[in-house]
Amino acid sequence: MSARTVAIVLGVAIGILAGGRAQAAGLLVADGGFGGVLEIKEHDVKVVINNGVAVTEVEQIFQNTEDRIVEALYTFPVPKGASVANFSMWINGKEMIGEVVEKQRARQIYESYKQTRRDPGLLEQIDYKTFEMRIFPIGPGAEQRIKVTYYQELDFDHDWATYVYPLATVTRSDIDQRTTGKFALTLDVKSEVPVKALESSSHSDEFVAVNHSANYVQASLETDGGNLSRDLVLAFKTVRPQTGIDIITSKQTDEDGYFMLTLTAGEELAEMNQGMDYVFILDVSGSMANDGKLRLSRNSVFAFMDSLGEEDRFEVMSFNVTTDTLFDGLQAATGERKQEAETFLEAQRARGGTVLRPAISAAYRYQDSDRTLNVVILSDGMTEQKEQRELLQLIGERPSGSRVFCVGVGNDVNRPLLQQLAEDAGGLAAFLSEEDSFERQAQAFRRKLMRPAIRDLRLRLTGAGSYDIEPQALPDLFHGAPLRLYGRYKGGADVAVTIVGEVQGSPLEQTVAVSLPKIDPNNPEIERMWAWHRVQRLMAEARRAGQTNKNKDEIVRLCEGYSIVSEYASFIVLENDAEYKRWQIDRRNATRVIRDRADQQKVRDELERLRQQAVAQLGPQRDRKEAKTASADRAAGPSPSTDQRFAQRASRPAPRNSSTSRDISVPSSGSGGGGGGAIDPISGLIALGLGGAALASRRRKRKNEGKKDE
Amino acid sequence: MNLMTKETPMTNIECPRSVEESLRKTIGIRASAFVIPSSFVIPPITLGVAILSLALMCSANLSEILQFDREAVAAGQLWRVVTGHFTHWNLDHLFWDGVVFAVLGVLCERRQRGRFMLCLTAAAVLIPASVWLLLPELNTYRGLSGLDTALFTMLAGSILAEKWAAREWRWVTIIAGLMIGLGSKIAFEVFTQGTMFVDTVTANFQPVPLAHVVGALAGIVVAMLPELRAPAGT
Repeated sequence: MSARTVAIVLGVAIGILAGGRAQAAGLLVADGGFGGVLEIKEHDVKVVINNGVAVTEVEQIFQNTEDRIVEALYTFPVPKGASVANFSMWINGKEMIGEVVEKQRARQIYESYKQTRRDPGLLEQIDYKTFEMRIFPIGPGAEQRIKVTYYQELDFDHDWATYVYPLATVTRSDIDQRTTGKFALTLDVKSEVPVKALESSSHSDEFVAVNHSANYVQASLETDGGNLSRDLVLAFKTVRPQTGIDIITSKQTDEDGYFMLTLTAGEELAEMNQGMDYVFILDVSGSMANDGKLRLSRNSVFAFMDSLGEEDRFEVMSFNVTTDTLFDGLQAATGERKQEAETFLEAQRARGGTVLRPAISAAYRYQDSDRTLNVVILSDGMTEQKEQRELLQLIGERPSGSRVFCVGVGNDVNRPLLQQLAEDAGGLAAFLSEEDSFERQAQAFRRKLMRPAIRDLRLRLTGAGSYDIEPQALPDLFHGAPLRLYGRYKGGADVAVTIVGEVQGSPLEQTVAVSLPKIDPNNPEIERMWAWHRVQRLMAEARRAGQTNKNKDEIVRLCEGYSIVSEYASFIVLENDAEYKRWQIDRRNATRVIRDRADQQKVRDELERLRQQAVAQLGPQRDRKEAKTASADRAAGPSPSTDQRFAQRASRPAPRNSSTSRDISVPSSGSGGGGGGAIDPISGLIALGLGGAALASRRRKRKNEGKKDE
Repeated sequence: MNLMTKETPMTNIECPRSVEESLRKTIGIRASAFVIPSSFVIPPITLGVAILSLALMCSANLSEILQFDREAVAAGQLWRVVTGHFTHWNLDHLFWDGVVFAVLGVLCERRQRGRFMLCLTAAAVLIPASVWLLLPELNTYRGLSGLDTALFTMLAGSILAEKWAAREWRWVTIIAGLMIGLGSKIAFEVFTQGTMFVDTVTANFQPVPLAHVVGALAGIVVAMLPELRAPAGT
């Protein structure tokens, strides 16, 4: 292996099984007993967000600055809800794309190479998403280039979608988070729902944002050297004026197509006025001491409480191995009570283990039959493994009229557990990062609780041979948090989408017709997201059943077919194509990556064309009115805000993605929930018939009377 | 009946005794070439209710204040018992309710104003009372349709009685047929708890067949009452 780069990409499961602390990752450190100093020469991140699905491609070049061979430990926390879709490294100047194979087989292949001191790369996931990659050897002064691609669905909170590039999650004190080279991040946002604003709460001064049209926005950041120890947070706001669906598709000529249907609650849904009850459950176990998670949780609860009105009632609990309550009863959210709660929370210290079940059981006892109870859990989800099944069972037994909302704190949260708890409880999960604006998050969360949800939501698709819809059961629709539905379809055809649900006690049923195309190369990312959702559902079924091997074959098939790293499948990078052939590993990922890159290049070319169009509109061609607006904006301040820049381009024509959008008439809260009599056309015609008969009768009577008078 | 052909100087208009008279005079003065038959003039109560219902449709806040609301009524806002009938959930809801009320209201008010007012008052009180007592889960109620049904059965009942007495069997058949038609429609509503041809899902309100049943009964009872006073306008 002399002078050759040998990489060991080793996924590390984070020790929630033992209740341990997450070994989350940062960037790069010389490690493995060899010592040495490594520098990041380049760190280039390209993000394309297509209707809420983000594809992040991270390309990094490391350099050994010493005159000796070193081993590098690359640690990388894949962010919440993300699925690693590709890992490549350059061996002998050539990019080697990894393949996903069944986990045990991958391990066997890896071990066989280790015995002959020819190490392949292996990326494993045992639980969730932090992995480490060991690179050895890196020769004196040599460079190593790697590329990681991951997919994720962005969280939407009250119309704001938040993208986090995790840089802050570091538990190893010896990691140097400063880069001497270039760090660049470009973000392209494509959205069928118009983008109204884009901002960065973490790097507002460094980012440059521009919206080329209402449906395409770009942001970029570039720096030479600097501290990369802060999460990079970008949020963009999309507003759908009316409740409706947006569908994007991906369809190759030789296989069935994929679609992603997004259902978004529109602005017409008004807020409910009546107060609600809240029980805030704060995790104060030992794991919350890390990374300021307890402080973040505490501040989030403060922000939640601030947004409560006096018509609301609340209680605060803390838990580790025991549960502590503040009031022992629901109290009106007055200033005085809020102050008491703040004092109570300030006194909390993180220590002990995590036993969540008693806290949730206690919270359920606060349910009043005539009010909605919202149980808000702020935790990193590091609960005891044996308790997880009991928790899921407990959630299923919640009293009617109650919802459980989970707020995951920090980047190394047990997202699957919190997500499943919230979904099973008719609530939803939100995740807070250190760099997030938790006031905004809290207010958005509060608004979401106030907004009327479409409950008992079901979507039926008929026609076009649609099948394998994921998720199979939909949660409630909250305002500002769109729901996504993925599925397959057989051929291009019309499809009827029927939305059934309940809005504030009134039934909703509406059908809209859309047309799915025969060929659509524009959105390849939804193919993997469909498979990823299917894998997540199958794994959730296994968790519920307590059988780790349940659905394993199907999961492995999907993981291998769509290159998804999971608890049952790992990424392996071999030295060359011949090695893949030797192990009879199909180059499915390589084929897909090459195809996707070609498709994505076309999309980038189209975006570039739009950028050029936008640039062409600048300068002398601007009419007086535009020039006047621009000058007025300049006069308003030396550095116009992102919103101002957005406003300047609001009128530009919106390029359409290959999607179909339809509005739905959801009754607003201001006109519903009550009863009324209704005269239908039949009754109306009967009544008008009676009126006609009465008039005719009267005329006839008068005529007869006239004859008598004569 | 050739009063309307007289031209009267505008400065000499006397204070009218009724809106109806005022309309006749005003229109007569401005367009002396036309004779406006008295039957064309919309009776004031019907006109008032129609305008009020339309106006309330334009103001969501006023509708909120005037709709039947169980808690508000319990808190002493008794006007909601009556005013709730004049509020509607949306324009679709108002359209047929308003059209039918306008037609039947004009006919009933002109035919027998006293009976008309008694019918409206009885139905306006009995419908919310029955909702209060029999539908405790229903918090709010809006709509003229209960009153429409009351006017229908009152008018049909009156004509039927009249034609029966006059042995005009053809008319009896027609009116009875119309009554059976409406009765069937109400029965359908009662048994299905839904409506025909009205999208209450989109309109987002719960149909209340009870209002039509109570309205229909109130109208029939009023129709069967002995003559209250001399019919107006005849």
